[in-house]
Amino acid sequence: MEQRHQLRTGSESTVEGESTQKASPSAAQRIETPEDLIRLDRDSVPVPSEVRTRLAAALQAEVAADTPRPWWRRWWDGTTEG
Amino acid sequence: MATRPQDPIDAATASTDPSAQADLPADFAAIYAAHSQSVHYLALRLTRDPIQAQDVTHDVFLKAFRNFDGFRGNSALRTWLYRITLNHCSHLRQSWAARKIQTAEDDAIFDRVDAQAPNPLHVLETKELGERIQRTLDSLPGEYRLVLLLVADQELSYEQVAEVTEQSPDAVRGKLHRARKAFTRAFARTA
Repeated sequence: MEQRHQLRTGSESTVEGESTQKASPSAAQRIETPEDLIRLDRDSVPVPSEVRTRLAAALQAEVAADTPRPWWRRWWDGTTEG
Repeated sequence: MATRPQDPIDAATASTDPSAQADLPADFAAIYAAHSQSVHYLALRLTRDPIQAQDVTHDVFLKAFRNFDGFRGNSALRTWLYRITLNHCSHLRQSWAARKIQTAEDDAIFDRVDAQAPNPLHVLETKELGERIQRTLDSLPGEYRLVLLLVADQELSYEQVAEVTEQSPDAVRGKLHRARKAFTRAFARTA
């Protein structure tokens, strides 16, 4: 699908560019400013799911490290350290 | 499980995101859902590297989780996260520069590889619009690039952009005007 991005900044002359990106229907509307174009691009870039997975693992490890072991676990392991 | 963050978040975004479940602490998952795409995109366009952008996003939210007690709430959460992101990207650039002194020739090679790579690691960069925006942003002075990326976030006011970039709102407005002109000219050249 060919999209045509038209970029205009205020009273500046209109600049046109083309993109073959398959974008959302909103991409078809007129792009008035560079920020509109950047937003369009941002909305088409999802955060890879592995970031969330890695983050969850890291947070769980942090929380586990912060949690003192119960007395029976320390006794079982033969240590008395928290 | 600890749930440190108790900051107001975009409840609408959080509640409609099906991924905001289970794995992350509930309230932190809501924060992640509301802000991760913006943080990731800023990191992607500043580092030019999808893998580094993922690492930055991960590290920013990890740091936010660790330091949430230090977040005083006198700035918006998004502003705070962006400051962490910028600091992180800045450290990355410095450590890269310390390890490798690049010549102009190296830069050219890097640019060619980056632009043409069929490498799956650069899958996000294969979209034409993304590539053109990246090339355009790369051709701008750093301060213009940053102002445009931040102003594009409609959740941030000029005052908040000024806070993130440590300058006055008037300076932001002035730079934005020049940045728009420069971007428009440069974007046309990428066609």
